[in-house]
Amino acid sequence: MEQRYEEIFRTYFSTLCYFAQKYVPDLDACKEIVHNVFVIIWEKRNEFDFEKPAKSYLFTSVYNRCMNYIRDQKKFIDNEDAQEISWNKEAINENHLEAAELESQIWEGINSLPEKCREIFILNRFEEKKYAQIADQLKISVKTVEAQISKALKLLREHLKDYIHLLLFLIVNNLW
Amino acid sequence: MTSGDRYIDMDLLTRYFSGETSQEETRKVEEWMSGSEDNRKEFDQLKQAWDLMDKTHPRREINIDKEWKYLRNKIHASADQHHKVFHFRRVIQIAAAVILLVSIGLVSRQMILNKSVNTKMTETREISLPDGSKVTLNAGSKIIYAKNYALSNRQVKLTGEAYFEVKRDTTLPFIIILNDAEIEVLGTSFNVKAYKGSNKIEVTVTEGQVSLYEKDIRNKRIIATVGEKAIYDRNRKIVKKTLNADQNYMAWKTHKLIFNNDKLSTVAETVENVYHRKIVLKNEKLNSCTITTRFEGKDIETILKVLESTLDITIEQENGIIYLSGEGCE
Repeated sequence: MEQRYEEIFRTYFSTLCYFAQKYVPDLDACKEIVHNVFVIIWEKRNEFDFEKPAKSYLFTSVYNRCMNYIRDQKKFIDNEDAQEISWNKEAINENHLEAAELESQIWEGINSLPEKCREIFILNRFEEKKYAQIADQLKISVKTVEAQISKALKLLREHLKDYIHLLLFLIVNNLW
Repeated sequence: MTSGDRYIDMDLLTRYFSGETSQEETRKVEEWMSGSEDNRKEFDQLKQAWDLMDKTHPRREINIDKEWKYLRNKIHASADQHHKVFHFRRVIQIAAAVILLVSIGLVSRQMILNKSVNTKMTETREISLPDGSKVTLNAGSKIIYAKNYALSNRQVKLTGEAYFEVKRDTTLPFIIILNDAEIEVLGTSFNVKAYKGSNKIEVTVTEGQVSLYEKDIRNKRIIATVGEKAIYDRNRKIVKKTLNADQNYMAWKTHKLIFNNDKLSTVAETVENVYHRKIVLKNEKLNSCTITTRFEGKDIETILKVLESTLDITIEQENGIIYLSGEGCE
């Protein structure tokens, strides 16, 4: 059972956090919310059916906790002083769930890249370093940088191919 | 490469997405792309995979092994707690008996149970608590904690200002009792300003999260995280939070002061709080002076000299009070 519990945690934790973030902006607060859901499951482990699909239970619990969190926080925001702390009040939304799944897949993809490849790709894609700067920083040739980045792209396309249509859907509908 | 080519060099295409192709190469890619329906499809898919990365950021990466460890600790802590509660009930029973015996004697219970640290108006002091948490007291402040601190509770009483670095312990929340409000944390770092005469309590968070609530109304707590400030308004009896705009909230401890186009009155107030000296602006006009500068580990004399020379003001000291005068900066 403990093994199954860990498996569920590892499968859903990051997706649930990204999902929570559609409602609660602070990622650390979201992590805490999701952790608390898992603590409850652990405390009720003797009644919890680990064989049944856990997904809808998890998302509903996280959603409810987000709503409680917003409710608790909102009471204390003084209008004069509140600066840009705004809350998203929409109801549970399938698209939020899918956007969260996609973000967690993006990280799964990035993290499954070979180490060097991942490092170079992150430098280029997130830190916006030019090929030459990366080559300089890592003391390798520009050619190697180029090869690693295109390798990363190939692998990521493979990893994410099932999700790309989803992305299009989300963008077209202005949900992301 | 002609426009009918089926394949394209992946390195070239990636370079194109990166914006590192020459004009000639750019033309090549675009020609290839418009060469056939299949090429177009291939291009779109790769471009989408590339663009997908814009939807996240390394700051948003979640390390699942770390989170799993954290959860395991949390679970085991809550299991231990049940254990401890039982165990400590006995400890408390014994302690109660001891207290009873002692209070029959002449020593007051207060003296036996509590430790207290005061700071004078001119000093700050660092204290280590039995659980390894650290407290730095600003001037004119007082902290009291029970002798059995860290056994059955982690409670302290504070008046004045202090910076807390609380050791994480999920089984025993750390509670600060102020006169009319309470703060509860598990393990974080934050500054608390709760001077007696002031009409508010301010809690500024450096790390982790902190909850603040009016005494006995814990279910109406507000949670502040890094970069935020929780405030208890003593007049209106409400808790609220804002983003922290004061870069110098910890200057009294670090002696690092940053001023960014700040009015002289703000500067004087900050310097007063950090160096525990009274500063008086003799002239309203002086407030038209603003200053942008940083001081690190400087003594007050140096700071005054810098202000004197950059703002063209006169500084005099009498009976320990610092007087600023001048024509202003208009």
